[in-house]
Amino acid sequence: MDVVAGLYGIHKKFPGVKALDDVTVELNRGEIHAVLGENGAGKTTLMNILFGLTLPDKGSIRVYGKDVKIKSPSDALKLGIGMVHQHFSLIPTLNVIENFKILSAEKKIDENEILELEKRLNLHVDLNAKVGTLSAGERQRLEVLRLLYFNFNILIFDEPTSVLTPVETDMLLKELRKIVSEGKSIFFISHKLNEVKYVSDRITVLRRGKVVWSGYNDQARVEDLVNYMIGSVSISEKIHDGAYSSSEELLKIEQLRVKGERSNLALNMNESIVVNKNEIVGIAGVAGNGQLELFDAIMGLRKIEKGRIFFNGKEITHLSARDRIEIGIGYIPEDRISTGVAPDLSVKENLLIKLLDSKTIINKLGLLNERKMNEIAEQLIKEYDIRTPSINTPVKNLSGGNLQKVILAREISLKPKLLLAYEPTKGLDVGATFFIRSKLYEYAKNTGSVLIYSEDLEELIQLCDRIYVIYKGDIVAQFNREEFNEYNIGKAMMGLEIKR
Amino acid sequence: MSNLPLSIFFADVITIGIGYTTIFLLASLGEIYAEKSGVLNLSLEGIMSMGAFFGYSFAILFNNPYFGLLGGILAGLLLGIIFAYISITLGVNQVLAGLSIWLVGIGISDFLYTLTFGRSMFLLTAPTLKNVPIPYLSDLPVIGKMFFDHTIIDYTAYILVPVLWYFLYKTKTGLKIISVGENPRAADSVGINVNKVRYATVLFGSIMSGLSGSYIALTVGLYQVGIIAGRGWISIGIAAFSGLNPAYGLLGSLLFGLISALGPSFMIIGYKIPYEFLDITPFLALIVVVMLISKRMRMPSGHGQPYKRE
Amino acid sequence: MRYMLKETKSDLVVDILIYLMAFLLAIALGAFLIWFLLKINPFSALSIIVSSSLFTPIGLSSTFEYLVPLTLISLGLAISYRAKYWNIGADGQLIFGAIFTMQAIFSVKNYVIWPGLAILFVLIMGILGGALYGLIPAVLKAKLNVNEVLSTLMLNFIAIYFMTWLVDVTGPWKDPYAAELESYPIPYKFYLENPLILLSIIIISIFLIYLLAEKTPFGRYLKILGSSKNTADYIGLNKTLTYIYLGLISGALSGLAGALQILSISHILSSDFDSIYLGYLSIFSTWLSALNPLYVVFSSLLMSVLITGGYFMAGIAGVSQLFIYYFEGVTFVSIIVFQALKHRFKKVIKNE
Repeated sequence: MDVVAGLYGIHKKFPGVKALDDVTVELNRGEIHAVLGENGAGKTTLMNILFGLTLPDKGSIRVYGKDVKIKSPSDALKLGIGMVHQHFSLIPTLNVIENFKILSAEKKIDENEILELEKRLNLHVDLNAKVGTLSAGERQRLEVLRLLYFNFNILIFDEPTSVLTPVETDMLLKELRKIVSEGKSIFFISHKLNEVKYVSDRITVLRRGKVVWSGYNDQARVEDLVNYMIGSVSISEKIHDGAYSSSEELLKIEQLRVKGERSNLALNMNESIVVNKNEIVGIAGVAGNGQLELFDAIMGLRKIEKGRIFFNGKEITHLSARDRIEIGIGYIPEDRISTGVAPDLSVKENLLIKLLDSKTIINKLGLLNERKMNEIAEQLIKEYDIRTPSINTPVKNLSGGNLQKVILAREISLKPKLLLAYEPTKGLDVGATFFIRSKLYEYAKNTGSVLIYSEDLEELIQLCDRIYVIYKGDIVAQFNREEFNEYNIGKAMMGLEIKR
Repeated sequence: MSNLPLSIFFADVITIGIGYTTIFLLASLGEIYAEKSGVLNLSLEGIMSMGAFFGYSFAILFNNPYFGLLGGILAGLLLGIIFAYISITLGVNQVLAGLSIWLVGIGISDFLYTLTFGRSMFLLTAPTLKNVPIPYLSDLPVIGKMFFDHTIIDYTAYILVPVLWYFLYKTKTGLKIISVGENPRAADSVGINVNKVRYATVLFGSIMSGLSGSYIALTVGLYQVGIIAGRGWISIGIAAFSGLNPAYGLLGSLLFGLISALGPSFMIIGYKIPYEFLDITPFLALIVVVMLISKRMRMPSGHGQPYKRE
Repeated sequence: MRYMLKETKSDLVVDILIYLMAFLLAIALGAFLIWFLLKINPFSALSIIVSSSLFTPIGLSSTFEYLVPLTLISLGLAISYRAKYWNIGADGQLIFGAIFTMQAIFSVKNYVIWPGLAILFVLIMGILGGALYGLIPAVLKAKLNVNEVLSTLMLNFIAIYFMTWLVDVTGPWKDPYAAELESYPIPYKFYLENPLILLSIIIISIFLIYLLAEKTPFGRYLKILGSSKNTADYIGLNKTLTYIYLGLISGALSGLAGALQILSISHILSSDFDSIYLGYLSIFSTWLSALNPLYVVFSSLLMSVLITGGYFMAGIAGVSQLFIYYFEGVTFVSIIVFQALKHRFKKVIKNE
């Protein structure tokens, strides 16, 4: 076999976690080698090591049979290794050609040659467009195009499909097969089994930083791969009990218009969204279709240009975020570390930051009652099993799962009538994911309603009573629990008509 | 008032203003580059003070104003390295790092001056930069004296504007600087050494400020405690005003150069306005200008953020 | 919990070591310069600084004179910097406090019935002056997104020139019999020189700011705002109001300092009123206090000792009082560097 790149005996420790423990993988010429694993299994760390973004504690790397030290991406690029990242390595304020120019490579930029390559591979991108105006799919095509233009022979794709619609995903996977048929070699990082099964020649499964299985695609049964990936805990454990009845309206959103980061109308709704009492409603959509603006607008964190929001029968369109918290809206935001918590403050303070003005923890003189604060914080830490050295540890020192539990504990302890949850389990391990999903479900059924957005359709299908699909800033479809169907929802996410 | 003093007044404003513009232009062009790569350098005032002291003392020691300019460059490099180390390598909050180097620069230069030349019984004057009239052009009536009879540094500063503009927007290295400021992570993963680029722009900016400081000392041949008198801060304001575009940097520098020239020009024609009011104008103008533009100002996304790989 | 206690203790040790090292470095560098350029034994220079500022009556009273304004100003800066509101305009706010005080004195000096009440009134006017001047950059930041570092600095220059005009020949307050740029002196009945009163003002201010910073929701909100603006928005904090409160409080404290400078020390307004730049010096004592209101008085004391000692040195050894700026800058930088390197130091100290 012709091995083009190999990582041997790689060890990597991050504070508190063993990210990689004696990992060895090899990539052959002309193959797609999938590295499969749960979020947090160490896949991205492993590839970052090959690409020079992370330095290993121990272990060696060999490229084309030679031992190499890769200390930075520019070392990797020199060796002919290119990477398509989860967060694109493009500069949105520059145009497409300029984005070609910034990549460190010897080759001259020839527009005609790029156009030819576009034609040959059927990857179309407007060369004069500002990258900021391109869709996620177009940006990814641009990244691939750029790597191929510079003749990188070893390509790493890190979760390339997470920002794509199902059709785009399909296109990409076909392109990848075409690329390897031309002699390139690809590491394909994913946690999505069906894609891996569909596209790869070889599969290596990582769990908690260790290789648990490695072999050819046709040697692996799907059920076994699932087991290798997640071990004994099963995420597909049933959460929803199937029962669902609800009629009393809690939240109603009409004709909402909200501007996005680039002051375009990110949200431009003609359809309404309704959330009833004790209901879990999901929003499905590909990243960047207005869902973030929708959630922020409900919480009062973004200016509403037009439209109305009703809560419990009263209009709240122009209430401040503070007032919305008071009337009972809670929010688990996308950005945990610098929005969901104040990173430098302690675990205790972060459990209480929304309670600081309330009578429960201030005495008659307007001073904080430390004893009461400790009591509440300790109780929440116990109840939510938050692993922290002490209640006074700065919250930024906690692991991702524990950090999210701090946010969840705080939001639920306020007993909001409506809890907004944006990607509540993204990047968390199986245990924490299951814990958070169960808590959300339990909360909806016993206390208040939940409006949840997740990139992971499985999560929505597992939890929700109803699902709205958002596309280009508007609601394009609605599904009741009995109509849930991954294929149909996926189609709606791309703005396609669905036959029912 | 007859017509004569008025036209003299305007001629003075422009002739003096062009000199003042140079001060702002050198410092703000450097700052524009540093900020474009994502590093806010608030220490200009201190670096300029150090540049003025080094410029003054080198010019005296070597009895040559051009060695003074070298001294200014050296001073900028010295403080620039410290600032870059603190803000880029150590990743300290850039505001804090900038304020501390500002105080260091002011403190060391003023202290050193009082320890050395300031102890002399006589006021020691350094050789000053001589005007280099451009042949033929400087002989033109009125505008010849205004525009074509200045020092080498003045010409250099103005020539640098198109050069730096072109370099930033039209060359590969310039695009890399922009990338580092906009998205350091992405820049890193296309093989750009983020911190190296930032060191380069910060050192360039510091050298330009040091040069600007030495220019101040070498046009009058003197150093005095508090010589920079806020002009470093105004240069930072001009960089913000320019939206980090060198062309607008020239516009802002001209604006503030001319405003600053009003005071001395009034004095020359003997018009009586309390000089404090004239001294106040650039600072007031800066507040007003910054007020007008702050809402619309767009800084690079990575502005003010130290970069560290995860 | 035991694990936690152990950690804080060694943290404190590391912090203290960092400060000590930063000081020693700054002093060593300063001493080297003095020795190198003036051939004066640095140890005797140091002993002059300490003995003159603390163990002579004149020195001690001078040290106290600096201690009062530095402490007051630094208290306001400490809470501002907690919220990453970089107010460096204390000098302007101090000057406007003094200007308001002078105006108040000139307005009421002929109608004074109870001097105590009159003094209280002019103090309040001084506080108001500082607070209003501190309000400007806060409003500009909150409403127009104007960077407060730039605006407060510009306002400092504006205040200095405005004050100079007031006491200049064309200005309204110039005392025609004084050779320097000086105002008319204030009447004797407005003198406030009792050190016990001044001391109580400091102690009360420290106590109040400590309560505000550590024991009230407002104090926590400042920390949240300083930690992450997004989080502040997310919990529904009114940032505009918070910046305005900060501008008012820190301005008021600087204004109080300015009023006290007039009533207890200078008794006139002159172009030299703030020639030592108490506000800039306070940035340093604030940072040295680790933004803790209780430590502010110690860091301010240290600064006062150095300023007074610097003046004595200026007389004896020919070293200018500008030593203080040099020292301030170098120590500031060393502390920041050492703090950034803290984790590495910790490892060395713990022998890991």
